[in-house]
Amino acid sequence: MTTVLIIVAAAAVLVGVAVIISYNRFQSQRVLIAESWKQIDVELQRRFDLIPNLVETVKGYAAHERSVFEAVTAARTNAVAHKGDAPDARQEPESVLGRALGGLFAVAESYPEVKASANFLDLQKQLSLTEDRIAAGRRFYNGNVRAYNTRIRTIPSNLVASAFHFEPAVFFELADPAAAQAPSVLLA
Amino acid sequence: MSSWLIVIGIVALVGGLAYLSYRANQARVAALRAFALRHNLYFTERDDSLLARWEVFAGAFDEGFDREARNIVHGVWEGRSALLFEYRFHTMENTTNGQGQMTQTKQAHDRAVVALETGQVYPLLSVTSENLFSRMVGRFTGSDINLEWEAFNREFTVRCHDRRFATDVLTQPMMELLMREPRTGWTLCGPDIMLIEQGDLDLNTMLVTLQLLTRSVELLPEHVKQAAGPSAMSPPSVGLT
Repeated sequence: MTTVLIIVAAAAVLVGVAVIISYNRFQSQRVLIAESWKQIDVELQRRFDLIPNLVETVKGYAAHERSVFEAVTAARTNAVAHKGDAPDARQEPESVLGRALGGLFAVAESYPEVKASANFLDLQKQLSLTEDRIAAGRRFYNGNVRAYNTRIRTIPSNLVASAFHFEPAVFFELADPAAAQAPSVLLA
Repeated sequence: MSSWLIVIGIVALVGGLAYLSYRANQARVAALRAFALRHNLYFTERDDSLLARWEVFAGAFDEGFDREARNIVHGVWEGRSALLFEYRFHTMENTTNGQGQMTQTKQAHDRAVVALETGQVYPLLSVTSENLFSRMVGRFTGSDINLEWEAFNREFTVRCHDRRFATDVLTQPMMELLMREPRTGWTLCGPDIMLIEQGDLDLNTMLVTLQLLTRSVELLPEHVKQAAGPSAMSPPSVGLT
């Protein structure tokens, strides 16, 4: 009888330890997801900061392309308004902003003076690096979300997830693949 | 009389084997010299001091003691400093004899190293061929970094203290490149990218490895290079001490 009790107690302790480890791992994964999202947020903010200068620079050479500048400005304003939102709520405004920026670069392409401007080239290079960092940050964030969601859905960690109400996290995808792609620029 | 003959026979056999081994090594050294000459590189028989290059970057050459660098092919390869050498380190191994007594013996371990300077200084990141043991260790400790390509995860073990850095470096094109040569992988260690394999330098694969490392450096994302900043380290100086 005593032996049975010891075995049951040992099993209960083992299960308890396993639950604690699993719970802690869920928590650290959540922290990692939050941190990796913050890194994307920093880069998105950097993109917001670069856009006004970029628009002003292109405007200096192609003032009559007003609709393009307005589209970029409106998209930026809309994206900034969603700044504190969850990743899924930011996908659409950021995608729209990416497309609008694509339009701006298309305009710049047709003006040799813009392409020759040192200021424009510098801003384009900075934006290109920022887009690269956003893409890399997105990949890292989505990787962390994937690992976390996989644990929520697989045995035995799904039992802990359901007991402690760990909900799946959302991926951050830019809807338009063109917007997800960094503008092509030759980096010296 | 017959016992003398046996002794003489054994001595002759050992001597013969030693001579054959010496000749084989001489031939290999000559082939390495020829390789260096063919590719405008230099050859130095031994310079242990070059290992100091990686002293501050823990990881790649930490193990054991009495570390040696031999048969060093060095110079500039496609605009970057290249180092190919045979690395030997020693460990003390416990062995038990027939009477159950434990004795310690000095054991030599040989590695072939192909290293290429990247121009930046990076944290330690290793991408090595996955085997059953490393997979089990990785699963158990959670130290493996898994990326979004399942086939790549099965083929390679990725280790790095900075998961974000590993993800940034191992982009889709980089993973595709590594998947084309699954035997290889590489290690980013301080100023260099390198492949460390068991045994001696293999003349049949040295060129392929150098090309793989060159292509890997080219595929390092620009923002990763920018974040690392230029390396303040001077190129490796071999045979000058």
